[in-house]
Amino acid sequence: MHNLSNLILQIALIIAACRVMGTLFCKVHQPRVVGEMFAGILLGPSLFGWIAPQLSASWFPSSGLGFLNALSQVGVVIFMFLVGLGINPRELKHQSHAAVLSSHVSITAPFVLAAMLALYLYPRLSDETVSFTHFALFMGAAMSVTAFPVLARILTERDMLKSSLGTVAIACAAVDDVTGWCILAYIVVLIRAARQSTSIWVTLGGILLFAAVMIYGVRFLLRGFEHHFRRHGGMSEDRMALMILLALASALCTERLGIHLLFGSFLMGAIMPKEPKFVRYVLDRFETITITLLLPLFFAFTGLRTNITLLKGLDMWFYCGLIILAAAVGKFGGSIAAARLSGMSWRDAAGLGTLMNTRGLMELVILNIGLDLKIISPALFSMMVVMALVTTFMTVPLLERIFPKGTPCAAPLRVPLQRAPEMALASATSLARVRVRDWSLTRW
Amino acid sequence: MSRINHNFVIAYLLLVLLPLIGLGAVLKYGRRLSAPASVDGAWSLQIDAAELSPICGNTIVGMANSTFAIRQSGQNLVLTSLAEPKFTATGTIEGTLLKGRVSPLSIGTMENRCTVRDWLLQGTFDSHAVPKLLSGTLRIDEHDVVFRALMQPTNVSNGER
Repeated sequence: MHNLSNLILQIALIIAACRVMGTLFCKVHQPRVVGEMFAGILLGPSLFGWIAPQLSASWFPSSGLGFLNALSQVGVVIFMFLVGLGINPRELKHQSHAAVLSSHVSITAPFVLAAMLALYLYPRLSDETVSFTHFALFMGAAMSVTAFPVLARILTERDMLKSSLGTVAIACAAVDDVTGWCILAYIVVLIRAARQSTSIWVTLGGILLFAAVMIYGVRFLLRGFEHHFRRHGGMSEDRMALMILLALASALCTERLGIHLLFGSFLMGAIMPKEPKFVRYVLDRFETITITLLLPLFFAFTGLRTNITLLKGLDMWFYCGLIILAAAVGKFGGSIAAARLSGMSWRDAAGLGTLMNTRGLMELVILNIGLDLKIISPALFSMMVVMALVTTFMTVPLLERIFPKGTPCAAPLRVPLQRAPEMALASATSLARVRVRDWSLTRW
Repeated sequence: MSRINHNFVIAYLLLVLLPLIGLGAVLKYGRRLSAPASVDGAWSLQIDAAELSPICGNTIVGMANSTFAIRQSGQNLVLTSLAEPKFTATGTIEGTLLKGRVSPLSIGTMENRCTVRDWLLQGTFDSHAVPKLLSGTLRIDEHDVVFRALMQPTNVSNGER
């Protein structure tokens, strides 16, 4: 009973802190997610535990965080299902050269910079149980992620979603997300295979088989949900429960195959039918409880693991500064270079670089996987969380500088790209169909 | 090949494939690097209780067979006791030499309270021993106490230590 009352107290505190910080950050034109990420850190050892260690230990005892962790993980599993649901793989086919180049460079540039930075950080912030290859690959994957949902929200709020810049940015972010998760899955497989007796080829073979069954088999069965929705204008509770069960089963399969729960739920979301009204309907059913209850628990749990007091001394803050610099330069610089070479104006290229530098919640999800697998140390985890906050926080102010009020953003591309008209048409119709504007989850 | 495609291919080679070759080189070079020895985990402390009894009015005898945890971030360590007396120390590891310092600490009951002002730990880490062994000296307010600590086994399934 004591555990239960403690859990309820924790949940109440977390929801209150996240709502207050989220509202405060909204007032300074920041996405709510930044405020809620910040609230999580305030509740952890970085502030609350530092100011009132005894009270913190009483409200958030380390032995009593298991329930909180479990609930937060369920929330992230559902969140990743919804992120997958929001990504329409068909849209990725309608990309211009600008989008293809920008998305690939916005992954490789921060990835390579992170690997180079790993040469310096590995002897200082890692230990002998982690191989350099794993460390460097993880750093690369963590730095090259872009928060698709946060980016979509920012574009929506600034009325840039249907501009050419918005179209390229949303396509790049979607490609980044899918690629980033594939890279991360591969790294997790490598690391787990190195620590277990199962051959990596068995694991990889199993994953490929699973993905093939999902994409070429299960995807067609899932159309039954859409047909039912069209016929009845809604879904019964049984069918919604079945959908949750499928997401959980897929998550369990990927966990058993040696990657991670989240990949399975993401994949199940990605292969769901993409009929806009159906997507909207499913999101409506899931998002309130996910956004207001489960994800704040994840932020709080991340915050409880983030200990900025570990960054003692100038050298630790220097490492943290280097990480922020490498992450920002890699994403920002890489995207700008690619966009310029694709014929975008300086302004649009800078806008794209700024948008791609948004990491948000996706970064926290990846970092938690790294900490669980012990690829990154607690101090490095805290530095990367700071980096995620800083790079997400800087997006809106930078965009306001690049596109001050009244400036027509995202002017037409100077060099007409081969598929630009097709892409513009595809984006105008498909994005309007998906109605990202109405998708509340994009606040994340 | 049209001019746009030609430019695209060149840009792709320069900005994507070339950095990927660089990544390969970085990964190859990085394999030569070595990171600090791993001391992260739970340790069981072994101290002769008789050596602790004269210190601080017998209030820290409980440490004789207690456990503590080390959380490692590269060369930087945080040591936390998992039993009474509760303490947290910061430390470093260089090679096999481990050093730690505990901030001044008040121990004991209201009637028998004692403050340890200076608390230094210096030990050598033996990674070849099974289980891993840490041995050295604990200097508590000018009393030198010899200690041994053995790393407790941990679950490594699913990649977790």
